[in-house]
Amino acid sequence: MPEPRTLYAKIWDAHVVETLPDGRALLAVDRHLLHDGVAIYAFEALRAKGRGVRRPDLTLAVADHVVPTGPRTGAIPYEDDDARRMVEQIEAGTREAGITAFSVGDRRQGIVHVVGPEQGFVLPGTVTVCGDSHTSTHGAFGAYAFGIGITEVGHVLATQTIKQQKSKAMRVSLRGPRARGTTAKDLVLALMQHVGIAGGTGHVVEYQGSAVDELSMEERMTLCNMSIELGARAGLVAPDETTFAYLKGRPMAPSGALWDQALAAWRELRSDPDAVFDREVELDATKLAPHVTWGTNPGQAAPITAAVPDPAAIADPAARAGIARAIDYMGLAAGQKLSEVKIDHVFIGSCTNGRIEDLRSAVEVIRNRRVAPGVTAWVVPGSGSVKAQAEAEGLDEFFRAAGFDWREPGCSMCLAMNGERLQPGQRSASTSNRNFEGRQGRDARTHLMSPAMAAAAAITGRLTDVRDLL
Amino acid sequence: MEPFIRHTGIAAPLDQADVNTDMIFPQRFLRRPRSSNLAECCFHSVRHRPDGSLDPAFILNRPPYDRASVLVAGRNFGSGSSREHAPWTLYDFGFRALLSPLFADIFKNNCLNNGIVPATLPEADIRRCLAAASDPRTAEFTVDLEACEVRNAAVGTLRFEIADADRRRLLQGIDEIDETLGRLPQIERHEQEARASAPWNHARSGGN
Ligand code: SF4
Repeated sequence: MPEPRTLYAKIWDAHVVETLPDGRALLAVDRHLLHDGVAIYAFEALRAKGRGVRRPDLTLAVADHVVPTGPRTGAIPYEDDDARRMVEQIEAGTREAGITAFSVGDRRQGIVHVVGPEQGFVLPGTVTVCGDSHTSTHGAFGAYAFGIGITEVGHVLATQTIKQQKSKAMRVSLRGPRARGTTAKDLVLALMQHVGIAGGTGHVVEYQGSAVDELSMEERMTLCNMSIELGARAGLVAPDETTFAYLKGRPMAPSGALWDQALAAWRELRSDPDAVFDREVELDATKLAPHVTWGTNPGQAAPITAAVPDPAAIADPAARAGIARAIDYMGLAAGQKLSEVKIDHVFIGSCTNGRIEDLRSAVEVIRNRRVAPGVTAWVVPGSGSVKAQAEAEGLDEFFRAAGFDWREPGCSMCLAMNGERLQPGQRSASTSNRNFEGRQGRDARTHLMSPAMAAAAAITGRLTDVRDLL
Repeated sequence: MEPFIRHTGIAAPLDQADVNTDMIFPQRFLRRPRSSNLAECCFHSVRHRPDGSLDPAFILNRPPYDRASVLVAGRNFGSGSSREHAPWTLYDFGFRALLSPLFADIFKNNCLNNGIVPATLPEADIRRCLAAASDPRTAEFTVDLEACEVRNAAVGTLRFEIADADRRRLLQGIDEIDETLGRLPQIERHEQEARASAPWNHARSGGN
């Protein structure tokens, strides 16, 4: 009898080119995603050593991080010359190497972790990498997908391999059906609160359970996206019929006889029933309330029905100091009800929640309502394809009618690297993944939540329990 | 990459858990070329006051810590993004070794690729190191990668943990790409097998 293995171990084993003398493995890389935030550095490093790109057919490139998301008629108003150069260089470098690239002007352009899946580029069982921590998103397809640094991007371009030490395996079991008014974002925020932002460090997480089975691909991507916020190297969901239905017919997915062959192999891709995980975590999703973050890391989350915690009630001095610092930065008071916190800005977008279903769920809430006076609300679709789909469904009309700004695709205010940022002291309800100090602009305050919750906040002008508006 | 054997220098105490890459290297500098000196970006938001002046309350602005080359940090250092700018800015500032009870995965890898030693010590040892570093008279630390030891007048000799593979990489300062390119025949053989067993991964359709 072969030893039972986890899905992670199976993908790992199938990709080991060889075990290195130092104990690491040299892994073959099937899919590499490249974005404008790293391409310029990686191409420069390759050029300096006279190295070429080994398998240009296995890389897909997009411009997303520095691209402004205002109207794209006429010259693009980049934040500065460095930003313009980053886009020019991803275009030039990919052209030279023969890599497919969707830059500004291409209707398929968008956030790397939205574009990769919707093109059918990322497939089950692959090793998928990208110079971005949220590469964990692609684990939703049952791919072993993880973020790498810029030096490693150069390594992948030059060799189509990566050197790595195997991580431990962790299973997160989510029991469903999940409660009304909650989304994959609420699941992951609740999980964050439960295991903390270093709870997954050194591990690859596999999500299982009835609450996971019932998730759409978009929702699985939201869940896996924030695996990195747990500190995990990657997050995985075993592929199933939901996965296959999503992939079938996508432009870069296999077709014809190759599809049938792939499908047969993908159906075998799951952890063996007796596979042993190094760590097990369980969460009951049946009684969850919608969640928001109140602090400055994604683990500082709570149900919307709760209040800002009181540091004085925390015994551990280091934890107490951390919480006090977060509350101070966020301009909140201990004991303040979360549903009474007023906001200035709403950002619906990012690789966590900038997909078509996210926009649909926001429309459910804002339809025939108006954005509260004094609130600026943005929708930044995750890609040109998402934008086109939303417009075909008329979602943009609902957003505009409610007073939202309907924008072009990109990372935008998730990272504020393209110049789109909040002013100091401004507070936002955001569907992105990080609420670190300064993430959306210097001294700006970010509350993370689902698109439906962000939409509800836009309507009332404060953090709001979306269940009251449904 | 320069090999790292051992290093002696001033250690700065940063007694804070979960220091993330956004704090180490704020995103508004992410567009800067690597060829520019990134030292000034290091911890920029916490190092400066709103008016742009250096905040004397921040440890790295106070002598002797303004020339620190070892950082003693709390748990989960470097969490967040994969931005290699974080180790770049630490390197440009002068840091050669980091001590923490826990490092975030991608950040740790990025340190290794830039010749910075991420040394893991138990929480209790880190507390002692923080105390020693906080006193300028005992702030000098030696990080010895060959022996996997931290040495300091106040705390004596402490062992640190680092994966053997990581240690060897730093000691030898190997160029990883050159090393891998030496394995091209094996890579090609593996690729051929993969083409046979999972041809759909090698026959991408669509795109242009
Ligand atoms: S949307 Fe945000 S988290 Fe996602 S890739 Fe862009 S900047 Fe990174």
